[in-house]
Amino acid sequence: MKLLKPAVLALACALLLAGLNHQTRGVIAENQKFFEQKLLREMVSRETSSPDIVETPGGFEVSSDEAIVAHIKRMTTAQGYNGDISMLVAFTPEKQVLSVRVTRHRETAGIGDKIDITVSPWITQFDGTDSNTRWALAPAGDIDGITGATITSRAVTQAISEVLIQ
Amino acid sequence: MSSITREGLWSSNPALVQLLGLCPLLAVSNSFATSLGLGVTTLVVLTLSNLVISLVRGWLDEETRLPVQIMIIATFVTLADLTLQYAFFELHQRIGLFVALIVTNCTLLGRAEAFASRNPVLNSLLDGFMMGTGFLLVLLLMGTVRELVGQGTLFANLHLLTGLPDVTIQVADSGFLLLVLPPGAFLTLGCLIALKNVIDGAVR
Repeated sequence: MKLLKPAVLALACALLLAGLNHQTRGVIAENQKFFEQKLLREMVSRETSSPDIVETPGGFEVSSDEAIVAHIKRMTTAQGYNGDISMLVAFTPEKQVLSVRVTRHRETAGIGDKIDITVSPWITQFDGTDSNTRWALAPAGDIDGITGATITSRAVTQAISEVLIQ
Repeated sequence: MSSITREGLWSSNPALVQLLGLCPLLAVSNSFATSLGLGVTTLVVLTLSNLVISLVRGWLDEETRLPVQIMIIATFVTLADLTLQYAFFELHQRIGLFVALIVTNCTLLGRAEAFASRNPVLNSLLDGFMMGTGFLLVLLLMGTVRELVGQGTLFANLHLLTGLPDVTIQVADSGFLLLVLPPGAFLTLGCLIALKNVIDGAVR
């Protein structure tokens, strides 16, 4: 019966966790949804101010007045300098990029993390690019790389071009 | 009472003397805001886990003590994690990865085993609070130095934590990048420990 008291403690811990999980689950899901919606709306704000966003496999479909005005695709590349880079790419049905946001990355702080819009506006140079863009880093292509973060810049550039080809 | 306070804040400071909990200390101290977020979370978890472990210390024997202590610490860490997602979702996006790692912060199990499982409840509560505060203060100091020198800013993203307006102070356009990178954490901590030893030597 040595384990009786630890078992009682374990049960108490489990009940406490289950209770708080039950209490907070709804609000946490709402928080997640709220920040996701906020980001998606911001990404297509050039196209429409009252988007109707529906989740589809691999991303979202944005319509306004019953007509599809944009697609947003999730993309993850393994070509980053320090693991996966995940991003959202919004583009029009004519395959012109509206905006790109990096949602998850582990690139070097102070160098590669400039792909993050909260750190640097670098990612906004992709707004308006399309199939006529030369998808490579300057001087060979049209994209300006981040100084000191060529691998990171190339990974993001290539990933976005792949989204447009799909 | 006062000796517990002095040990937690200075003479046995978990970050500067015991060198426990280096993983979170080094990983999140690259800005003031993340330091504050993780420091306060650690402080709360450490205080509560010390309290509960001291409460049940008579129930446990040699064989069951360690697993039960870890279970209690892990419970409080999970509670803190859920609470952060509930109230400070944006901050959780930034430090969430490290919140789970508080379980492996040796300061917590260290204080549970060395103090809370052998001392009365009030003393354990105070010990947890003072050790947590000592850890928080060092974390804040490192966050301030690394952000200021490494990035040239102070209090960036603090509004995610407080809900108040953005109070970022821009000191320079860019900084000495090394301090923000992992080696900078070791260098800063080393300098702080050296500083503490100099002060101790001067006082003595």
